[in-house]
Amino acid sequence: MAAEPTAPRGGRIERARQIESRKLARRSFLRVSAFAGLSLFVGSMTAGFLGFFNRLKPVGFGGVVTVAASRVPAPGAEPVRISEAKAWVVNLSGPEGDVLGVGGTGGIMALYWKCPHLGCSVPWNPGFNGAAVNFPGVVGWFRCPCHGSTYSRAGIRVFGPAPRPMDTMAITVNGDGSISVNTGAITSGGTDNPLRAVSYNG
Amino acid sequence: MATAVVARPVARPQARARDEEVLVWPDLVFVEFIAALLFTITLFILSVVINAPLLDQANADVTPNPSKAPWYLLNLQELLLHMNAAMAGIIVPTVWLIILGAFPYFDRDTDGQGAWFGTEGAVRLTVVSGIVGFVGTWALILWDSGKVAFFLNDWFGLSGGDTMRFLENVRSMQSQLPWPEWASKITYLPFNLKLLDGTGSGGPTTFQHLDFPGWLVEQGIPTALLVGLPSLMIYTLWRMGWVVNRRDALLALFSGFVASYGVLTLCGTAFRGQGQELVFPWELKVSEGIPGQEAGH
Ligand code: FES
Repeated sequence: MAAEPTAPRGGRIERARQIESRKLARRSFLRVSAFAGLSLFVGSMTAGFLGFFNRLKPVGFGGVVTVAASRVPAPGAEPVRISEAKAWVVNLSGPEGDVLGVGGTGGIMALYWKCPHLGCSVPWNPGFNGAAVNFPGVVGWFRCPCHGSTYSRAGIRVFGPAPRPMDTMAITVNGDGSISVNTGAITSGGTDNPLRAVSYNG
Repeated sequence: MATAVVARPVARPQARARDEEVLVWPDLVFVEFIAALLFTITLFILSVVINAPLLDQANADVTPNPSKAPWYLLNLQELLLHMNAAMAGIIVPTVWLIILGAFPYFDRDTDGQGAWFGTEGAVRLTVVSGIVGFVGTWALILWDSGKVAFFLNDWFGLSGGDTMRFLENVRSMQSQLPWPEWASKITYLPFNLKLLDGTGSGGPTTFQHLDFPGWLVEQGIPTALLVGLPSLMIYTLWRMGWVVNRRDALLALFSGFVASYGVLTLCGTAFRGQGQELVFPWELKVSEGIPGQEAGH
């Protein structure tokens, strides 16, 4: 310690002052950045909160999706996947899909593709034979990739862990043969699913 | 509790003889080192041999079929096929972990502690309950996937007709029995619960009514089987005189568990194809789920 070089007196004071002013600068820097961070945090929380009050009508999923007449399947044809509505549009011919016999008479319906079990997207399996789920002769079922819940064309659950049939969306048929699927109006599936079909002759 | 002390005097632990001891270094650490080397080499070889690519960014429009969890969770995913989701995913594992943790408090005997197969009938108990667990789990899986009825019909032309249809799998007890209308909405809350009601999206709206057939197939029967079958096995082994003390009972329970856990993992991994259909491992194909290219297209 004794060997420490001694700087000229004036230089030492000057240096001490510089150090002192740097310290102050650092402190204010910390203060500014802390408050900036805080206001950024509060600001983003507020913006996120205000986002809940967005009253604009949703487009795409959540709103009304129009499906052109050319995409609507013919009676008895394979269900058509409507991505923007997250739905399968099915055109039932007669009692088709009414596997539990509740008196369905056919028509068009939109099935929400989200499995009522744990929410996987349910694909249509056109080659699946109902014999495996005790409905011999009925070919083509919705079958969930996650836990195998199996639904008829009308979304009736016949097998697997799902608590209920597939959910349905409200449908209106327009004059030009297109249909409007209201993806904001989803009704829990029930055994009466086939009765919810809307008659369609586009 | 004084009687308990008198009944079984606690033996003083004997001082261990010097030549029974092993040293941490080199005895233990060397073995650990070898094990670490072996694992590193095995993992290295596996990573060269097995292709595990990072896939595209997730796309909600594209669902692979079958969709599976990582392999070590496929036992739970397999359970999910057969019972209520909260039960299979949360309640059963939690309860079982608690039971496992309670084992040492149930078997307080210090005799033969730490010895493999410490009791008289231990080996045959392990083997037999392992077999029971293995066969029983497969049998239950085959039944609940409708395969038993399917094969009876397909191979032997046996069919119970429409009246026996409710026995084909657990779910068909809900859909194939003539339940009266009221059975699916039994009101059990005396007041009108409006919690989150009226959204029409299921869930709490059905909360105050008990759907009895639904409860039966999703909770009632699975719980009865999960509790009843192991108890039945232990009771039988006890009546046969194989299980004589608590350790025997736990041994049988644990061996049965290991076997059925293994079966569930194996089945979920190698025997579940598209739509979680039971298939043979060599028939298992995964469809990427790209719209328009699903199964059958
Ligand atoms: S998410 Fe569809 S069956 Fe489980």
